[in-house]
Formats: sequence, C-alpha cells, structure tokens
Amino acid sequence: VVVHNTFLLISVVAIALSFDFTNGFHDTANAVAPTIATRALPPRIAVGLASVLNLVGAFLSIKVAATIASSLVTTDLVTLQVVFAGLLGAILWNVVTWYFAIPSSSSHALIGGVIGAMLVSAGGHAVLWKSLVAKVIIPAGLSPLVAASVAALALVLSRAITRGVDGETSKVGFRVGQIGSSGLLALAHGTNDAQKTMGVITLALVANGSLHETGSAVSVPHWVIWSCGLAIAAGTFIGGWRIIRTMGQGFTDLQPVQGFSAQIASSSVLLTAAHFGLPLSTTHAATGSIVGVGVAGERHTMRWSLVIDVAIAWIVTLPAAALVGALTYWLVHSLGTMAGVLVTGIIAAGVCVVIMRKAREDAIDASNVNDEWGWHAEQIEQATTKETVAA
Amino acid sequence: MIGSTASTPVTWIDWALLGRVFVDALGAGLALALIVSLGMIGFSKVRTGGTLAIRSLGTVVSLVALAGVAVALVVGFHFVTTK
Repeated sequence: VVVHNTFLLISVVAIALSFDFTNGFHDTANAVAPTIATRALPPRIAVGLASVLNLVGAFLSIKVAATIASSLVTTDLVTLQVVFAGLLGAILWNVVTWYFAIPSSSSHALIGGVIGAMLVSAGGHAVLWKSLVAKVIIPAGLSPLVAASVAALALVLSRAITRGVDGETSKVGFRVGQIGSSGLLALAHGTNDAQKTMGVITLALVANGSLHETGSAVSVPHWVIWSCGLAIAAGTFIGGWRIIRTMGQGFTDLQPVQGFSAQIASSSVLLTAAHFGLPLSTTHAATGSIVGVGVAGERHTMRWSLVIDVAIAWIVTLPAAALVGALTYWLVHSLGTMAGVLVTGIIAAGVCVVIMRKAREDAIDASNVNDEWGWHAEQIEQATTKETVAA
Repeated sequence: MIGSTASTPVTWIDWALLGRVFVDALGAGLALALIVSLGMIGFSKVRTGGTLAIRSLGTVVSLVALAGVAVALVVGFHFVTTK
C-alpha cells in the first residue's frame, strides 16, 4: 500500500543514515582491533584504511540490498513508522553499548528494534518466530564457536610452522598478513552492512510511491548507494575507539600471530557463510576469533569476566532494542506521525548527547587505545579519589 | 524486512550447511595460515640463510607464498562481490 508522507519519508531516510553511521563506528573494531593492538598499523591509519574499504565495499554489490532481517517479519505489515521506530531502537542500543565499550551486533539491534515496533504495531503473529530462532538466535550462538575453533587451529598451525623463525621476522610477517586480512574484513563489512541501510531506504521510497518497481525488481538509486557508503565510511573513520580497545586489549593480550590468526578466521568464516547464504554477525565472528586465539594461546591472559559481560550483552541486545523500538512506535502512533517523530527524535538525540558527554569523562581515542588494560580504569579511580578527598 | 517467506519451511538448525561452512572456513583459514607461515620461513632464510642455495630457495618460497596470498585475497574479493 503506497502512502504519501514526505515528512515521514525524509525522517526515515535521515534516521537510516544515522543508523548506518553508528553501524560504522560501532563495527570499526571488528576489522581493525587486532591490527591496532598488535601495532601492525598505527591506529589512525588502520581506521582510515577500514573507512576507505567500507566505502569501496558499499559500491561492490547491490545484489543483496535486503537485510539480515529478511523473512523475520511479515513484510506486508511493515510500515514507515515501524521502520522508523526499529531504526531508532537500534541506534540507541548501538550508542549505549558503545558507551559501555561492548562489541554487540548492529544487525541484531536493527532486527530487535523492528520486531519490537512490529509487536506493538501488528501483534505477535506478524513476527516469524521460528525464522527468528533459526536464522538469528541459533547462528548468533554458534558463529562465535565456529570462528573460535578456526582461529585456534590457525594459531596452532601458524605457531608450529614458524617455530624456527626468529621473533622479529615472525612479528613483521604476521603484521603484514594482518593488513591484508583486516582489509578484506572491512571490505566485506562495507558491502554487507551498507546494503542493509540501502534496502531500508529503498523500501521506504517504494512505500512512499517515490520509487517504482520495474518488473519484479527495484533498482537502488545512485544517491542511496552514495549516501549509505559515505555514512558507513564516516562512522568507521570516527572510530569506535572504546570498542576497539575492548576487542584489541580487553579479552587477551594479543600477539601478532594471534591477531593474524583471529583475523583470517573471521574473514574465512564470514565470507564462507556469506557464500552459502548464511547471514552471520561480523561482531560475533570477530569476537569469537579473538577469544579462540586467546584460549589457544596464553590462556592465563584471558579475561573471562569481560567475555561473560559481552555474552550477556549479546543476549540482551534483541530484547533491549525491541523495547526501545516498541516504545518509539507507541509514541509515534499515540502522538500522531509528525509530533511523534519529532518528540522521539528529540528524545533520542538528547539521550545520545548525554551519553557522548558522559563518555568524554573517560575518553578513549587513538592516543590511548593501546594502553594496558586496566590502567585507564585505575587512573579514573585515582582521579575520583583525589576529587573526593579534595572535596 | 524484504521478502516475507512465511510459507517457506524453516529448520531449526541446518547442520549440513553449518558443517559445510565450518569445513570450508577451516580449510580457507588454515590454507592462509599455511601460506603466510611458509612465506615467513622463506623470508627468514632469505635474511639469514647461510648458503646461496638456501637463500635462493627462501626467495622462491617467499614469492610463491606472496602469490598465494594474492590469490587468496582475489578469491575473498570474489566472495564479497558475488554473495
């Protein structure tokens, strides 16, 4: 059903591009965290390279301008309000998890947001629950295990072969290898994740009657491809330093051979899964790989409490984003489209500004992203104690 | 959000597909690890090999490994663009 509402269409496009931006900075870590942690590349260069490759990736293919959420909801019942609310839920969850430096899946946040909005909009029958479990929840649990196994075995093999190689040559060699593998990951991320937003915007254009199907296909307009590519590249370039630090320094103390093994494992798992049409979360595979090389390497450096925190965040992602999506939809529906969009948009922007300001208190950027894990927290604790004593 | 497949039968876990993904990813990952590691052995022989023969062999191994990495990246690139 075509419903003309230019204001809502513009709002959805703006919010979709904002989501794409948060997706970029939230997921920068997936491609570059081990590269930065092992000093294969300086932080700014690594992030810049990932940003360019994300942009290139957005142009490589638009064959799958659909989302991972395909076939998870009854699409006939999806409206622009549902899409708006779902995107807002995903954005807020991305910003909250970024603040807590937790690598969680942007795709799952988007799915959660849309499902939450859908539940309020059309009820439980509009959600294809079995598909949700089979295509999202089970792969979310299994992909880190698969990636961890591949990474652990790759590490054992690499170490066994290069046992006789001197330390310096080994470090340099694996660091060079990391540049290639992280580049491939960034490219895959650009083409995969930018397309999700392209799909959302294209759907919104069709639903608004601004774009017409030719036969059974819809061609994605050039401005949509450009804007999505630029949004995800800009987000990546900003660099989600907090999450980069968690993935690079938090789980374990990565050596170049471990970083290399983790990155080839995540690239291999993601690209193979994509080849077979199995949608996996880049974040889950990348995190699983790092944990895998940690377990197979120096096990005593593993920080299991952080692994457990991240696992809990993964479990909470879908319901939390769904809750925000549901609340947003309810507000938009109750207040009327224009007032609802404005009110929820302003509230969301306010929440984001507060979180960003709060994050400045313990800012993490290119200058301290590689500081020893725990050092930063100690500094903050000492500063707080001094302030308390002074007061 | 595109293409509802309410009528398509869904299996909880497609073990066969998962197995193929695991085996292929493992193969690709280990192959890359092997290529890069062998290249490193070759490169270390280029730098520290005693005789000319060993250094030459090291050069050949390094170059073959480099070509292997290039092929692997092209294959990966192909996967990215055709999925």
